[in-house]
Amino acid sequence: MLGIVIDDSRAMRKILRGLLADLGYEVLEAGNGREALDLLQSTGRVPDLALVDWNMPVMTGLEFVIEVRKITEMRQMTLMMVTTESEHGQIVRALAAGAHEYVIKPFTRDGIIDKLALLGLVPVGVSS
Amino acid sequence: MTNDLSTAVEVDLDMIAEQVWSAFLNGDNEEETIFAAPDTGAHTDLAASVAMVGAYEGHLVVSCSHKASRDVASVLFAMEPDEVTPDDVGDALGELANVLGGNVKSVLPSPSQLSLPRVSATAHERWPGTVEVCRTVVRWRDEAYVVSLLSGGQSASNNTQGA
Amino acid sequence: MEMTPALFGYVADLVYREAGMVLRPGKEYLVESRLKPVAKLTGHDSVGSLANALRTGTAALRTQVVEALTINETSWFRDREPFAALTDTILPDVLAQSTRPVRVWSAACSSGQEPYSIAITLEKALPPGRGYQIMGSDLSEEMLRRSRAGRFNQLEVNRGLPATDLVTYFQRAGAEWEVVPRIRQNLSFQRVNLCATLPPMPKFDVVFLRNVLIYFEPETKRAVLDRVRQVLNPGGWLLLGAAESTVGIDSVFERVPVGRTAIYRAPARDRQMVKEVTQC
Repeated sequence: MLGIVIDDSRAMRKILRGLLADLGYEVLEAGNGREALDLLQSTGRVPDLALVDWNMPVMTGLEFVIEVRKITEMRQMTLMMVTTESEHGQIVRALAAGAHEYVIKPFTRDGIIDKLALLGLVPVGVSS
Repeated sequence: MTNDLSTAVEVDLDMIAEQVWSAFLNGDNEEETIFAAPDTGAHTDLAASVAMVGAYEGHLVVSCSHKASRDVASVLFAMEPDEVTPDDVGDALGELANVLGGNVKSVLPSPSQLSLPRVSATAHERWPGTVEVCRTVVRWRDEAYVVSLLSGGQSASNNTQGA
Repeated sequence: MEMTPALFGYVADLVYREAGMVLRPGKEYLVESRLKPVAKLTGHDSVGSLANALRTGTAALRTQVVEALTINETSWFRDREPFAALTDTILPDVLAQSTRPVRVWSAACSSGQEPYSIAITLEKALPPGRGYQIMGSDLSEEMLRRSRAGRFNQLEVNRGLPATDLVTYFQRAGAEWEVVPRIRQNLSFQRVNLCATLPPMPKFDVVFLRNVLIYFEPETKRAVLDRVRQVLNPGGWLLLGAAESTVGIDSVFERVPVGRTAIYRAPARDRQMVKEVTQC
């Protein structure tokens, strides 16, 4: 399994990277949406899962989701927003743009794992 | 800002702070943390803030001492407090403000946009034309963290990214 | 009064006896933080003095303490399989039996995630115009209060509630999320002690009795299953926790394997009336 964590906070990337690594993921990191797109396009890799913050410099998470959904080769990628944006309307917007799931910060480790389980993205044998 | 709104938001601010600490900082240890602690006017060195622009104009500011900021960074980065760099402190405290700010924004008039966080020495931080709507103090590891919600001010338009 | 090792040991014993939860030394902070509100509510000036009062205190006080220490975030659609079984196996059967509103009892509803998860499942699965009623019950007044409120904080809604369900069936209420009134009108809540004769209640098509039996002795398990069967419609369905079974305790329920789990079914027509004899 390949995951990418897109967040402008290094601390948040480290937390999420550790969590995915514990589940057996290989993890890529990017500090904003643009960086993530460039990384994926230059390496030709398509992660199974992207954890996407919303408010980031250069390219926001919502813009990233919209861009990624236009790229046929990346259709397989599951997009989960992990963000402090927590209004009802914001969640609706992200889902409408093509995000598959949404986790509101602050989250607990179990919260993330529960959501990944919903998406069928927790490898068998790993439990919360 | 009416008193009614400020009272309602204050309750929410307490609750939000409690959730942020319990999810991100206390882990499984359930360390002793006092929420809505008495405001003893603790000395603060650093302030991390996010601006809100739109239907609500203002800032969410979290301020604390240098030691307190290193404690936050050491937990978020899973490092010893004396290993964290000033960059780590800025990142961690900024993310704390971001998470608190985003949650507070959801209980305020909408739609508003959240800026990227800014971290600086409290000695240099000014919030011209703002008034404090409410504040909550968290005492964690014997340090005070002052979380305050400000309303108004022109500086709200600085440093703002589209959502 | 100080929280001495002896008092901590007493609290740890109590929680182990009543809830099977192990509190090792080193968890003094947990005891201190969880019991502080209980101490305040019950007029004790410290957690130590509350712990000391437990020795001679009422059963209600002990229950309050055990509850405060064992509260945990529950997941939505916990274990998932029971909810899949509800949609795929149980509902087609129940819908074929009658045209009445579907009636479900969530018999240990805790803070409400289970009955509201059932409601969301029914909202999606029932044919248009078909109603439903869900009764949630718990031993704890505090849990009932929380369930009735139908309000959940950010951390709680993150626990396995699909985002599409969150935006469809919940609305913001300050820093929390509240189940929409359209759904809440189908739920009622009532205090029920499963270890005593049940209060009068209508019959149910489905009973969720999950992660309750594990706390009881075999004798009590049998008595609880008897009582539950008496409030089930003939052919009604019972769902237990992942680690629970009627096998070896009750031979009247039929075990029906579904996916990786099993659900249980009451006889289509009462073969025997079980007389209530065992009290626990």
